[in-house]
Amino acid sequence: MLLARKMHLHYGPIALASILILGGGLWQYSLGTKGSPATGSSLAGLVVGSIAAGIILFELLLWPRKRLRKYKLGRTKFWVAYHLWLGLACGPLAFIHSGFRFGGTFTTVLMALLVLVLTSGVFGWVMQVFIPRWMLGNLPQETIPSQIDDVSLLSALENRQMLTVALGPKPPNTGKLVALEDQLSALKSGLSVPSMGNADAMPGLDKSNAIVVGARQRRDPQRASFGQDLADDLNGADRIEIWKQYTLVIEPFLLKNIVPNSTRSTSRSPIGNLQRTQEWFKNLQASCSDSAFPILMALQSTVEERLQFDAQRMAHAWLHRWIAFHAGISVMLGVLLIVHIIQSLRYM
Amino acid sequence: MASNQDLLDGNEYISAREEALFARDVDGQLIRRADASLTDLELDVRITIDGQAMVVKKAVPMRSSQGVVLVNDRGEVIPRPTTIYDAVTRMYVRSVQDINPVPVLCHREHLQPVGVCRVCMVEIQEQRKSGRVKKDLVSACTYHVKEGMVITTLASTENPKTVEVLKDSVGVIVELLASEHLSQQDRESLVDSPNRYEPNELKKLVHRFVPDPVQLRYPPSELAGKRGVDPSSEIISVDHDACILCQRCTRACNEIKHNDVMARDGKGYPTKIAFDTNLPMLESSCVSCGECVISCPTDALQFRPLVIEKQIAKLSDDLHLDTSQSGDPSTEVLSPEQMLDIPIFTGIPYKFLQFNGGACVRRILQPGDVLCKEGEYGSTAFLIQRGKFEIQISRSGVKKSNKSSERKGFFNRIFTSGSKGIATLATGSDTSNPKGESRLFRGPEDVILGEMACLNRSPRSATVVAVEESEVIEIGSNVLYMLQRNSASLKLLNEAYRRHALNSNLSRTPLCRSLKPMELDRLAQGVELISVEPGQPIFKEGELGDEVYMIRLGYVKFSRLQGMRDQVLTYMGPPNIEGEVGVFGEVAVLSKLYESELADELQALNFAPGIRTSSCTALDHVELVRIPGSIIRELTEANSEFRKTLLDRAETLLRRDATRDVSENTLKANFVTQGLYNAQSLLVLDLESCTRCDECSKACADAHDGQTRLVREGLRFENFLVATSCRSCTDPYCLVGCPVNAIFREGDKEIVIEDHCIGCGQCATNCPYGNITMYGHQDGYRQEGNQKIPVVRQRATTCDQCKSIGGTPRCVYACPHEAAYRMSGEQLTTMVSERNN
Repeated sequence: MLLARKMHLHYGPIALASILILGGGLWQYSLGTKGSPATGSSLAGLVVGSIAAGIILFELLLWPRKRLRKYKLGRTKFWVAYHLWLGLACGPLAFIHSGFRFGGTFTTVLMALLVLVLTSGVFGWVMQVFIPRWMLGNLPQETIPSQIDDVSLLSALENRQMLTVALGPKPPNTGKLVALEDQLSALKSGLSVPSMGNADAMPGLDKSNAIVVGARQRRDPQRASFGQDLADDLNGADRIEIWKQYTLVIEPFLLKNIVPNSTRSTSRSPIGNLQRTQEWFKNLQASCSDSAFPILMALQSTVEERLQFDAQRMAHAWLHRWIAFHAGISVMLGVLLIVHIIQSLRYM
Repeated sequence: MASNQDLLDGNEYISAREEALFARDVDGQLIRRADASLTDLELDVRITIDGQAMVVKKAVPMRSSQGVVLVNDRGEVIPRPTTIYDAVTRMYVRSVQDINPVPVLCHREHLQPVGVCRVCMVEIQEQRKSGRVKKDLVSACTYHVKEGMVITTLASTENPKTVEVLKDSVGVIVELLASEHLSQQDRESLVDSPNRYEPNELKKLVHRFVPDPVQLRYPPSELAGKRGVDPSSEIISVDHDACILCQRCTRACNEIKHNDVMARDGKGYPTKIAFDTNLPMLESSCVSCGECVISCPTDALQFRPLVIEKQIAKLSDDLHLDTSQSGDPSTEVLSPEQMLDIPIFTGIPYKFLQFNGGACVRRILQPGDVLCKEGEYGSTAFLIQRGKFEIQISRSGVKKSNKSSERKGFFNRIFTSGSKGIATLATGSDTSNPKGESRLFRGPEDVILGEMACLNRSPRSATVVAVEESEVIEIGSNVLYMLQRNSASLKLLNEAYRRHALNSNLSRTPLCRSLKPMELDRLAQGVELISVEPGQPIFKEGELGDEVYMIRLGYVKFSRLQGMRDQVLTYMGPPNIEGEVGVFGEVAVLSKLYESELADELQALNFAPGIRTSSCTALDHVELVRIPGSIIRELTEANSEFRKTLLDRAETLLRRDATRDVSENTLKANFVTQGLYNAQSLLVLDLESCTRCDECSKACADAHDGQTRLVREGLRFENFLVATSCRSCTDPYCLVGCPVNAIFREGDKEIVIEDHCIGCGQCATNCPYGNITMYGHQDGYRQEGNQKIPVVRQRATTCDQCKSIGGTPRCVYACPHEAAYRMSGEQLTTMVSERNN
C-alpha cells in the first residue's frame, strides 16, 4: 500500500537502506545479548538506540528544511523519502533498543509518543496517497484553498450581473441583497488578487491608500458580458421568483464565511449538498417556465462549484491537518529523547 | 471609453452610420470615413502632383501600425481609399532622408487620418460632372485621389502664386494655434532658429510659416492659459493649455494600444483631452505606457524629467554599461540627438528616444569579431553603418548553443566580442566552402542584420562575423517597431526582411536542396509573404489547391471533417531550433503535378488530384511564404533532380494521408486548444500525487523576494494541472510591443523582464495564458499636505526558470511528492499517452 505511489523508484533504495539498518540492528542485538537479558545499556542496545535516536533527530530536521525552501539543501522529495522510510525503521529499532520492554514511566511515555508519531505519520501518508486521487476524480473545479472565498465572492457578483442583464433589475419585495462594497473594494484595492495575500512583499504598506503607477492587473467582477442571451421570454413571475430564490437561498449559500450576517449554514440550507441542490433546482425549474432553464442551469453550476469548494476544504483538512499533530508530538518526542539521552549518560 | 457607435437605447443598438450625413466615424466628431472596395485596389487613378503626372491605385491595403496588411474574416485584404497625402508621399519620399512637403500636425502615417488640424492643406483642381473645373483647398490627409485630379503642394515650383496662398492659409492656422497654445516665452524662443531636435512640432511649423512669432496677428481666447495642468501622474505631465486637440494621443491610446483610456471631453473652447470619465490621470485606468506622450506633437504631454533620468539609469544598469567610465571605444550608448542624426531614425519621435535613453548602442567590430551566433535568441537588430560581415549559415541545421553568454542585459547577451567561437573564416567571394556551409556577405547596402530573430522571436538563423573593421547600431525590438511606422523606413526594412527571410527559409527547406542558386532566386522572386490572423482559414478541405506554404511565424492546425465534427489531425509551427522549416499544402499541388505517374496510387487510395485533403487554420498570428504551383511546375521542368525529389515526397505524403488516424482524439484536440504545442517548459503538476501543499508556490515566493511567479491553478490536461507559470513559448507573444524593450528571451528558453520595465502591462495582456503578473514595489513617498502617501510602482514579473538564482526551478526542487515537472507540451502528451496505455 505504501508503495502505491509512483515514487517507488526513488523509495526503493531508501527502503532497502532502512531494512539494512533494521537488519543490522537486529543482528547486532542478537550478537550482543547472547545468553543475557536484553537492555538498552548493553553495547548492542546502545548502538541500536543511538541509531534510532539519530534517525529521530534527522526526522525532525524536515521541519527546518521546509522553512529554508529558498536554499538548495537537496531535493525535498528525497528528504521526504528518507523521512518516511527511516522513520518506519526507527520504530522497530527503538523496540530492539528497549529489549522489547517499556521500562519505567518515562520510557513508557517516550515509547507511547514514538508510537503516536509513527501512527500519525503513517495515517498522513495514507491520506496523502488516497485523497489526491479522490479529489482528481470528484472535484474537477477545485481551486487554491486560500482563494475559495475570493472565487465565491466573484461568483456571487457575476451572478448578480448575469441576473440583472438577463432578468432586469431586482424587483422589490424579493428580499435584500447583502452589500458587498467592502469585499469588492478589498479585491479592487489590491494590486492583484494573489498579491493581496502576499503581505510580506510590502510589509506595513496600506495598499488601499497607495499611489499606484502602471497597470493594475485587475479582475473586475462588474465587467461581465454574459447573460444577455440566457433568457429571452421570461415572464414577470419567473423574474420575481428567480430573483427571490437567488437573494434568499443561493447567494447566502455562496457567501457563507464571507459576509458574516448572510451566513447560512450548510446543514440548514436547502442546497447544502449535491442531492438537495439537484432536487431544489428541479423544483425551482418546475415552478418556472421553460425559458428560465438556461439561467437556472447557470445558477446551479455556481452552487455545485461552491459545494465542490466545501468538499475541497474538507479534503484539504484531511490532507494537512494531521501534520500539526504529527509535528507537535514529534517535537515533544525530540525533547524527551534528549532528556532520555542525558539521563542515560548520567547513569551509565 | 464607449464607442460612439454603440449608442445604447433601450435594448437596441443604433449604428452611428445610420445617421447618414451626420455620421461620426471618428471619436464622436462629424467626420466620415469613406469605404473602398476590393476592386478599387486594382483601379488606376491618374493624377498630377506639382506638374508631374503619376498613376496611383484608387485604394491601398489598410495596414496596422506596424505596416502589416490587414485582412477581414474571409481572408480578403481590407482596402482604404488612397489619400492625397499617400500620393504625395509616394512621389516625394523615396528614401528615409526625403521629407514630405505637406506639413502635418494631427496626422501620422500609422494613425487613421482625422483631418482636424488642416495644416496639410493642398490645392486641388478636379473636374466636376458639369464639366467645370473645381479649385479648392483641401486637407491632404483625408481627401481621396480622384481621376484627373491636379494637386499643388508647397513644393510646387510651377505655381508660385498657389504656393503663396497655401503658405498664407497654413500660416493662419499655425498662427491661431500658436496664439492659443504657445506661451510668449515659447514664441520668443523661436525668433532664433529652433533647436534641431525640437520635439514640439507646432513650434517648428510656427518657425516655418509665421513671419513674426512674437507679435501675432490674432489674440488668444479668454481661456488661453487657464485650462490648467494635471500633475497627478508620476510619469506623465499633462498641460491642457499646450494641447491643440489633434487627437494623436487619443488615437494612439485607443487604436494603437487599445487601452481605451483617453478621449476628448467637452465642446468648443473648453474642450480638452480626458482620462476615463475625466478623472485625474493618476486615478484613471491609464497604464502609463507612454504611447500618448510619444504621439503628442506639442508639449501638452511630456515625460517627467525624473522618470527619464530613472529610466536611463535603470537601463544602463541592465545593460551593465556605465558610459562615462567604461572607456571602451568599441561601444557607445547613443543619445537621442545622436540617433536623430542618423537618417533612418528621422521619423522616430524625439520623446520616444528620450524615454528609451540608451536604446541604441553603437558597436565597432574588428575583423573576426562575432556579432551574433546561429541558434541563440536575440531581441536586437543591427543597422549596418560601415564595413562588411560574413553570414555563416549551416546547411546541416543549427546546433543550438546551450551555453549562452553569461553576461546579462539584452545587448550584452547578444554581442560577443573577440574571435572566440569562430571555427574558420575563409576569405574570398565563394558562395560555399568545402564544409558545405553557404557563404554570404552583407554591407551597408543591406541596411540591417538580425531583424528576423528580433521580429520573429526566433533563434538567430546565422552566425555573423565581421570581415573588416565595421560599425553597427544595435537597436532593440521597440525601436524596430517604431521604424516600421514610417513608410520610407518600413519599405527599406521590408525589402531587407523579405530578402533575408526568404534566403534563410528557402535554403533550409529540404525540398529545395536540389535547386541551383539561380533556381532558388527564381523561387524567391515568385513567392509572396502573407500574414494570417488567429482563427482565419488558410485553405479548406475539398477545395482545389495550387499553392504550397512555408511557415515563417506562428502555428497552424490541420483538421478533417468527420461527420459534423472537425477532427484535429496535427499542427505545424515555425522553423524549429534546427532551422527546419515547416512546409504544407503540397499534397494537392503534387498530386496534380504527378497525376499520370501516381495514377494507380491515387486510384487505390481514392484521392482526387489537386484537392485539399484537410483544412488548415491559423492558430495564432501566422506569417507564411506562399509558393504558387506554377513556379513549382516551372522548376520541375528545368531540374530533373528536383522533379524526382518532389515525386518521392508526393508518394510519401499520399501514403501518410491515406493511413492517417482521423478518429476522435480529445487528447490531440486539447493539446491544440490549450496551446501546448507552443510550450517548451510547462510547469505541470500530477494531480494524482500532488497533495496541494503549495510548497511549489511557497518555494517560488521564498526564492523571489516573497513574490510567487506561479499560481497553482490552470487548465487540466488529463490528470495533470498545467499551472499558471511561464511556458517559455517557442513563439512568445509577450515579447511583442514592449515600449521599452524590457522583456526578452535569454539563454535557451527563459523569458526575462529587466528592471527598467515601466509596468504598463502590455506583456501581461499579450500572454494568452495569464502567466505574467503585475506586482507593485514601493518606490518612495509623495508628500500631499501633511500626508505621506506611498508610491507603488507596478512591474511585470514572470518565471525565468530560476535562471537568475542558479538555474534549478525551485518549484520542482521543493515538491515533496514528485508531482511537479518542467516539460514541453509534446513531452507532456507523450507522458499522458504512456500512462493511458
